[in-house]
Formats: sequence, structure tokens, C-alpha cells
Amino acid sequence: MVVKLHPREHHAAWKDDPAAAASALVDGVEGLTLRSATADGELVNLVVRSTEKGDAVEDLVARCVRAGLGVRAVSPQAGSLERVFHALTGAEGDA
Amino acid sequence: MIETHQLTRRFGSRTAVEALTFSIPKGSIVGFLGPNGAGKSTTLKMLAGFLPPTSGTARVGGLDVVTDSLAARRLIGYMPESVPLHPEMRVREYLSFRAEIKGITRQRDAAVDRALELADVADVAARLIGELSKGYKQRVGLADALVARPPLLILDEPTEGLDPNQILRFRDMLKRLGAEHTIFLSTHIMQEVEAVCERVVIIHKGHIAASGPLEEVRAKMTGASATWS
Repeated sequence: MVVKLHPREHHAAWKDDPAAAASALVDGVEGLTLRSATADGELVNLVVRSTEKGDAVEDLVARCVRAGLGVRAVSPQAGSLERVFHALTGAEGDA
Repeated sequence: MIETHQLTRRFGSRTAVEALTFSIPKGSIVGFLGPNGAGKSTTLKMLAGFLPPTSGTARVGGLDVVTDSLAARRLIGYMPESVPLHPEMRVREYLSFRAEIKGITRQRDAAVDRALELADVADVAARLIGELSKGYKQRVGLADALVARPPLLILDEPTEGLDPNQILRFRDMLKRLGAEHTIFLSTHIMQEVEAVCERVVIIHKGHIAASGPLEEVRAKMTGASATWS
């Protein structure tokens, strides 16, 4: 899933090294693995994989809030490879 | 395992691929996607040493595929789109012949046995290739790619023409092979990439359109379409 965070101005670490900051945030949340963290303007997009059912997402959001991070969105990864492919190539069902 | 830099191939005035720069880490299974005519097969042929680039470089295991071609090719098991099999030969005989060509002089029978097992064609080892189904022929082609135990497999649309059951079987085989090999495969089937691959390279009109871990490529597109303000 994709988590869109707003680190806010006082979170310089997120601007300097979003991957390290995201890793520190996600590490220790049981059942979640960080796949990537990329800056997107003033936001940071985290891609996390849930490895088990349970409260992992709630735990991550609670951790974000406690850390003073704005949570703009938490969404399943909607971009299937097929959609990505079509968006990039304009191809019609032909890979 | 694979590194290309500004890899370009022209055929006369037509540019098939231009300035491809990408890398494939050792031990990964990477899908190579692109519309027909995008330059996938041309790229794979250059990596496999079958076609020299017009400009740019490609390295396999640190070896340049042009200036150190023989050594680089020893690292590669290449399965082209149309597997060039000899229909009049029996499967074991063909693989033994191919192993000999690839310089396997010692324990050739053991190497052939291993390839037969890995590619799941041991049960047809004594059959004539010309009598085999399309699925078996494809797997004999894979056995050929495997017989010299190369660390890198380059597979050009390996499931093309297979029925759904054969595709699933082939996919399971790729997952197993991924434990010991780096695999770079082109395919028309995106579910195949999603099921098997960790990374993807998407090519369009001879240029790289996207490259990286599967989830990162998907996430970039999601981010672009759903950024909140």
C-alpha cells in the first residue's frame, strides 16, 4: 500500500534522507516491510508491504501521528502493472 | 549482473533501440516489457552476444559482451523467441550435443541429467524433439539454456504459444530457477511479471520508459495520479 506523509517543516530528516527516516519509522511495526520511500514535493510516498493480517496499518498510522507526521493518505496500491504499462506506452493489450 | 550504458542498435536508417541504460542486480528475476517492435528482442540479442550494438556498452558479470564476448557468453543461458531445435534428434542427444558445443567435456551426462530435471523434461529424454508438444519444446529450449549451468538466464518470451496450464508450469519453474540464477525475461503476459518478477524494465519505441523494483514502478504511477493537495 501507499502511505502519503507530510513531514511538515520541522522534520528536516525527511527532506535530507527520506529512505532513512522512513526506515526508522516502519522498523518495529510488526507485519510491515518498507519497500521504498520517495519525496514527492512536500510529501513523502512510502510503499509498504503488509506481510500478515492484523493491526499493522493502524500501528503505522498511530506511530506517524505520535511522531507529528501528517498522514495525507493510506491507500492500496491501485496502479496495476497493466495500467502502468498502458500509461507509459499507450499500448492496447500488447506487451 | 547486467549493466547497459547508452546501448544503441540501428538497422540502416531505423533505430531499434537507443541509449538504453539500466542495470539488473545479481539474483533477481526481472521482467522485460514493451509493445511489439519496441526493441525487446534486439536488446536481448545484444546482451546474449548475438548482435553487436551500434554504440554503447553492455556488460554481463562485469564482462563487456563485445570485447570479452566469449567469456561473457559463458555466463549466459539464452533462450531465443523461436527456439532453434533439431527435430530429428532425441532430447538427451540434443542436449548432449549442445553441452559439447558449450565446452562441457567432463561429466557431460551429469550436466544433461541436471538440465533435464530442472526443465522438467526428463520424462521425454528419449523422444524425438519433432514429436514433442509446444510446451515440451519450450522446456527443451530452457534445458539447453541451463545445461552449462550459467548464472544468468536470458529468456525471450519463453511462454509464447503455451496453453494456460503450461504457462503455470513454466512460471513455477522460473520461480524455482530464480533461487540459483539471475533471470531476465521478456514476456507478453503482465500477470507473469507480477507473479514471478521482482523488478521490471519497460521499453517503448526503443527507449526505457520505466525501470526498477515492481512496486516502485507501480507506486510512481499511483503517486502521479493520486497526489493530494
